[in-house]
Amino acid sequence: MEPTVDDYLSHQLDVSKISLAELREARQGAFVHCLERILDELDRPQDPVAGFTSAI
Amino acid sequence: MVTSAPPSLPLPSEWPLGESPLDITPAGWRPTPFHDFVVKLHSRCDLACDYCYMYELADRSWRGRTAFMPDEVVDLATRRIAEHARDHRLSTIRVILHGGEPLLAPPATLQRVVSTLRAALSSGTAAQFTVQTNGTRLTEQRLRLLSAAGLRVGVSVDGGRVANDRHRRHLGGRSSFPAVDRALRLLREQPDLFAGILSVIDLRNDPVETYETLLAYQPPALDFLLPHGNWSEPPPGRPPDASTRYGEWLVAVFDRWYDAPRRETRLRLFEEIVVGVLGGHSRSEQIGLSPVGVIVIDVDGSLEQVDTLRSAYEGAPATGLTVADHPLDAALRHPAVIARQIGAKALAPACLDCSVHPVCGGGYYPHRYRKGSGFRNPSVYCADLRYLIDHIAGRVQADVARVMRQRA
Ligand code: SF4
Repeated sequence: MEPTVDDYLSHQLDVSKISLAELREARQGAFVHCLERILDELDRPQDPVAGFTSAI
Repeated sequence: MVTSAPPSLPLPSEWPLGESPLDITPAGWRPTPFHDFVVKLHSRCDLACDYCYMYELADRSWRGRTAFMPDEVVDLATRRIAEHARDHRLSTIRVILHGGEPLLAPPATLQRVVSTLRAALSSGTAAQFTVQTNGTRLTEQRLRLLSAAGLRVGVSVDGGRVANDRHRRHLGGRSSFPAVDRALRLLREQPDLFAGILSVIDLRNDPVETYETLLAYQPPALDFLLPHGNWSEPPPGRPPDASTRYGEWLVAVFDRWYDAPRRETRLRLFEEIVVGVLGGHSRSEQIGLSPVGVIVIDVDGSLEQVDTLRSAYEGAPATGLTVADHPLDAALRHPAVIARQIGAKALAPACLDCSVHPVCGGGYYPHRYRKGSGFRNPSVYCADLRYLIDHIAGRVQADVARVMRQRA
């Protein structure tokens, strides 16, 4: 059976303690960009706001 | 032009419209200002896509509307947007020129929106402008004009010829693909102008083939949209059971995208879920609990919520407000706008009991509708969303665990 978010959250990591260099070694591509976004959010906290879906 | 509140349609007494704003807002809650301004320049379209909320779904209110946005409404709309940005000290806003088909509007109208808004905005606010088009009118000359006006272009297309023409045809049935394909080739040559591609899923299309066909146009961003539908009008191939065909379709694309050695394009839905799984905040109204900061200004100056709500019932996006008579702040007090800004407080009990709700957020708001109870329901795509989120969480967990192992 696939792991669920429950499994994930129970092991949730503090990604702020992981360097980008380490992340790039783990996996290139889309994953790194998502993590960069998370680290950026941690560095420069802003009020979250959701944007329009029917446009890109 | 509408200069006062239009006669409002009878509103259902369903959640949240049966509520007073005070009853649904938690103590100390403050509205989130709008950041995305959707300006509808033309209410008609030169395609007759069979899934379009404008022409094929429950709402028919567009029929009584003027075809295009007159200059005086453009000026009022841009003034209201600038006023809102100034009052809330917004550092960045996005303006999306939309329709119908916005390229049916004269080029001068598009330029007017950009130039009047740039002139009205204070120096502390940066504005990004995009036009979301079906692509059929995007010639080289048109693209030059859009570029000169500072507009980037997003195109709606569902895949290759067969996939696209399942739904996206001209009135009378003629294929729209040759024209859209030409537009996308033009944009591929001008990456600075290319905002990306929006694509509606059809389960008959192969997921990976669809992704790779669209990827060949080198869009900087791509988003797959679930077809319109809700509990009372179910989407195609989404019976009210535990099946997960849309989830499986999306998982196939996710794995193809995620396993690519470099990021081939931004895939918005997937990025939002990965970020959500890692504890970050969503930036898309499609998924997650972030307050929605979107307001639509219709061709006649009416302030509306997103068009996709038209799939629920006639007049669902209406607020009864207009740019002529109301500041945009007035819409922040509308119960339906509030309902999309209060996060978990707007969720159904079943969603609150669901462990993925911080990531899912109950799914896209229009998909939650059920006649009689309104919008406080799980998404009609609940089983698909759960399947997709669980899969993505598993993949992300494996990667983060690998980083930790390498460190150890
Ligand atoms: S997966 Fe279903 S129950 Fe869980 S939050 Fe999403 S819509 Fe609600």
